[in-house]
Amino acid sequence: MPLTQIRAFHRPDHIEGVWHLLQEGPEVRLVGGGSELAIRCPSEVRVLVDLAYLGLDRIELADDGSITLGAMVTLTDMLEHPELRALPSGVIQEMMVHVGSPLLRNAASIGGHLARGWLSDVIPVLLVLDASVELYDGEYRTTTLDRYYRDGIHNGLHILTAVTIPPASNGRAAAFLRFSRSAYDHALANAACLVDIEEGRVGTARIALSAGFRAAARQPASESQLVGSGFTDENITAAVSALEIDAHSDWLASADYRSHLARTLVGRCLHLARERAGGGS
Amino acid sequence: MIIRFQLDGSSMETDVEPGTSLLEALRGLGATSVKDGCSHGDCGTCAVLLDGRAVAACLLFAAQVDGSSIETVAGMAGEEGLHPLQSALLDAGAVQCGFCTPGILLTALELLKNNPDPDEVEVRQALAGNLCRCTGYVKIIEGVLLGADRLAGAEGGS
Ligand SMILES: Cc1cc2nc3c(=O)[nH]c(=O)nc-3n(C[C@H](O)[C@H](O)[C@H](O)COP(=O)(O)OP(=O)(O)OC[C@H]3O[C@@H](n4cnc5c(N)ncnc54)[C@H](O)[C@@H]3O)c2cc1C
Ligand code: FES
Ligand code: FES
Repeated sequence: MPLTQIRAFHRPDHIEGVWHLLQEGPEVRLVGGGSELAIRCPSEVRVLVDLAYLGLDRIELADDGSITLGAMVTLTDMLEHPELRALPSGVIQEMMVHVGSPLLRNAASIGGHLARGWLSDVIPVLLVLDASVELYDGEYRTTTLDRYYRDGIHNGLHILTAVTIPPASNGRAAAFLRFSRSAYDHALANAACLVDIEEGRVGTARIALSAGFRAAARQPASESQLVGSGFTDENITAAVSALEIDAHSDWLASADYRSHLARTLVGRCLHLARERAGGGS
Repeated sequence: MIIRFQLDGSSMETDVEPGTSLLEALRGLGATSVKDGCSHGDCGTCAVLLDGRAVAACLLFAAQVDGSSIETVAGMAGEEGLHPLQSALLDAGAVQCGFCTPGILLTALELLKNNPDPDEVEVRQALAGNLCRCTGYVKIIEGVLLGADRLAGAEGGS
């Protein structure tokens, strides 16, 4: 059925024009790839604003090794980009092949994906890669992806314009795991981690997971069980015990089941990352 | 609103409601090889090539393709007959009711353009979003691998 309530589709070619339209109220929505809006457009939406004409489709590499993705870069562009594939343990590729299918990834934009914020495999991985986002809300500002969700910025009025992944130092290892009922289904829970080991001890540890509708979150209590300690089975168990999991129940799975899955996935991710970091079994 | 695009090599101009999906617009223009299996991005029967990339037409607004080029399965066969991938699917027995076949052909065509010699896992990953209600997946995968061999042979021979 056509979305008959939509009465205008705008295609501004400058950010101020988009911002001007967006401020008209909740009946205005931005279109990135359009995959979410085409099937789940809220009933109050009357006006669509396409971001395709802002030149936000580029991937740029900075001298310091950081990678900036314009908001309209597609998930396929991310999967195929050599610099992104080269990030620790090929974790972008490990995750991205599970995001829907090529039919989805060829159209879906990273900006739309992050602004949507829920049922995402991409968010936990970008959180452990310590990504930051650039927003426009009358002026440009930058914040970490972690704060973008933790402070609820993603729910406010803004245009997400870019995502930056900082350079990864050598010796880091990462892992991503998800569990879904079938290969093509949304994950019931997923987890990502990134670690590095310095002289037998964990230098950096980042863990993120999601177990339902809310955006994935970093796990500082769990991370601190590892930092500065040996990467031992006992410390991994302690990190898993310290997880704070915000799971929910629905017809697919109970919150208890999701929490159990998330703990198992984090534990497995940490073991996998240790193996990849050459840290023994 | 008026949108213009290339459809299987012909210039199209059409007037659509701003909330019309690409799937609805194409079928409205008579491109009924683009199937409506679910309208929710779940089945892949509506796949088309948008500037060479396979996309689900139900997940896009028609207005997003203004100025682009769309290919459907109707444009796949040439004057000399079926495209080698089409005949490979037929020869492999990969077509039962045929409802999923246009989407599978276009998705597989994109795969073979980017990766002319895929292995079975790569074919499975590429077709992850294409459901076959007749469940003939084994034959479909064999058909795509056969198509890859034939396309490689045709290129090697020319
Ligand atoms: C069939 C199907 C299967 C899926 N499977 C998976 C899966 O396995 N794993 C997974 O992680 N995801 C999955 N998804 C979710 C999918 O990844 C997202 O729908 C997609 O990435 C959204 O991107 P988009 O550009 O199409 O978003 P859009 O539909 O364009 O936008 C989504 C929302 O964000 C807003 N928005 C868009 N761009 C911006 C911007 N730059 N700034 C601010 N707001 C913006 C829009 O107004 C809208 O509210 C699936 C989706 C479908 C339809
Ligand atoms: S009709 Fe588009 S994916 Fe099913
Ligand atoms: S052949 Fe019938 S749906 Fe695939």
